[in-house]
Amino acid sequence: MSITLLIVLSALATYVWRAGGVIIGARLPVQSALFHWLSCVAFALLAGLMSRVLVFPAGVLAETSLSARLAAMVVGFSIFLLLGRRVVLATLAAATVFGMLIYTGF
Amino acid sequence: MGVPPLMVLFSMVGFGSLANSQQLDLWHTLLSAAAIYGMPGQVAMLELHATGASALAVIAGVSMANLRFLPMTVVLIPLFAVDDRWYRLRFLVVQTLSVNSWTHCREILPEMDASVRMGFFAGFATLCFLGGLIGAALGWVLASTLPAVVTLVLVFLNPAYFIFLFSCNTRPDIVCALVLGVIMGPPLYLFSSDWGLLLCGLIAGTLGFLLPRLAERN
Repeated sequence: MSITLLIVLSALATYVWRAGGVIIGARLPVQSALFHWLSCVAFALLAGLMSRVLVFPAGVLAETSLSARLAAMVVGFSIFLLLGRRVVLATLAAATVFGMLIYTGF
Repeated sequence: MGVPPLMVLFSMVGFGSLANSQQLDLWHTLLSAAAIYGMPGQVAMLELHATGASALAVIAGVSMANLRFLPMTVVLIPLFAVDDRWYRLRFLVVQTLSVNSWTHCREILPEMDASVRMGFFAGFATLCFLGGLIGAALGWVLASTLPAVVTLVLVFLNPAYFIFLFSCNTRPDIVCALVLGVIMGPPLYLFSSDWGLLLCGLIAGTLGFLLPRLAERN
């Protein structure tokens, strides 16, 4: 199979979830318990994905040490809590610490 | 408002660089970024294709990796609150849905007038989408010149940013679901790399939904 066709079919297999969401979501009242439950499921799934990416990464991140990734997140989260929940500042702090740790071979 | 498109751009630089290293040409890199437009699925496609997996395995792998779009779309669409004339347009705008646009619009949309919500989402998500395409192209072009540390930091930026962004939530059920999701994600992935994420969403999400309500009743 050509790579173009493979990408198109993979894209359709992803779009199925988006389209399914439109069909189901159109019938879902915002104030219903089902809406709140599905919101919790969506957030839990995304939180699990991000935590999995940090603990068991695929691709290039897998070449870095778990301790560097976790140490950077601990510093970022400390700044997040101490300096009034500033997302960009916490992200930049975590990324800087992570960059310094891997640059120094940690 | 400029941060979300930039975050998509940065994370797609990592993807473009990875695609180049796996001998995918620029056109196919951009096609997969635009058509799949979901990072775990894009990475799954590259990696499964590189390992010589069958076409069916690649397609199923990409689809499973992007399954999160189902619950994300289900709880976004009701916020649009538009009449049925615009129903079909929703099938078009959801192609630009990403974790970035979803997280921000879930915060912003409820505070906006119902009539402008879908238009706002379409503009905002398209901006993120375009940022992503520029990032993928930049990553592909700069693949051999970017220092390894820069690529690694760019790839790291995305999950770190989302963890902090999610941490701004204040609804008790969402906070509970997020904490449980962070804790359960890695072990459930070890339990099943195919179904772990879905299980994590269902178990942590259901517990997150139930526990604060049970605590309130008692």
